[in-house]
Amino acid sequence: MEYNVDAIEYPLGVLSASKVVDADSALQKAGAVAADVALAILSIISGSSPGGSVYAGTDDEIRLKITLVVLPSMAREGQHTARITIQRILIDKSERVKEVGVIEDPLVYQEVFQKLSKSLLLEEVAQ
Amino acid sequence: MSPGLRWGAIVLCAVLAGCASTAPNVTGSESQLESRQIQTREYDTLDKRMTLRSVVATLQDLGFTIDNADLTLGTITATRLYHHDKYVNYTMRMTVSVQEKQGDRVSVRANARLDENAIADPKTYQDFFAALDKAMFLTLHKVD
Repeated sequence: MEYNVDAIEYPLGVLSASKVVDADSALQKAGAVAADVALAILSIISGSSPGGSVYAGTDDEIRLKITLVVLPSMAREGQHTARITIQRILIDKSERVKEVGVIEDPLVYQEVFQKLSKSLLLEEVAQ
Repeated sequence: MSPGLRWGAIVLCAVLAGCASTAPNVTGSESQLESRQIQTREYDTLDKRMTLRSVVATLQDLGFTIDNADLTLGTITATRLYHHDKYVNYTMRMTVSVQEKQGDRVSVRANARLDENAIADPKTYQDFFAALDKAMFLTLHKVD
C-alpha cells in the first residue's frame, strides 16, 4: 500500500505508518486556472485588484496516517485481531491545511483488510 | 516633564511592550497536584500490559491514531484531528502513561493538548476515563 512505517511497538502490537498521495484533479485544476484567468481579465477591465487566487486553494496532496493494532484474540484462541484507524490531512496548493479528519468510509477499511488478507496468504505460501 | 513629552513616553512604552516577545510557557500553568487529580485514575482489575491494550483500544475508539507506544515505559502518545470548517482545523494530542503500583494496582494518567493549549477542563478527562472504563471492562471479559 506504499506506506512508510513510522513506529512499531511489537509487544503492544502497534504499528504506525504514513504516506503522502496526490490530491490533484485535472478537472479541478483546469477549472481553477480558468477562474483565475477570468478574475484577472475582470480586474483589468474594472481596474481593481484581482484578490485571491482560486488555483492556490485547489487540492494538492493528502497526508495519510494509519495505525494498525494486531493482537492475539482474547475470545478465540490461536487467532489474531487487527484494527485500523486512518486519518487524512488535505493540503492545498499554497501548502495550507484545508481539511483534516478520520476516514470513516467502510469501503476504505474493507479494501485495506482485503490487501492484508492477501498479504497473509502470500506469507503463508512463501513459508 | 511637559504633557506632550509624557504622552510620547507612554505611547513609546506601549509600542515597546507590544513588540516584546512573550516568554514561552515551559513549565505549564496549572497546579501540579490539581492536574494530577484530574488526569489520573487507579485500577485494580488488569495488569500493565492489558491496561495498555485497553488504552490503545480506547484511543482508537475515540478516533486517535497512535504516534508512539512503549510497553516498557508504559506510555502511549496519540493524535486526533478535528475539522471545524474550511481551513479551520484542530489537533488534539494525548499522552497516556500507565504505571504499576503496589498491590496489583495500575495508575493511568492522561495528558491532553488542543493545538497550543493544554486541556485543563476536567470534562475531557472524565470522558476519556469513561471510555477507558468500558474498554477495561471488555478486556477483563475477553471481548476483542
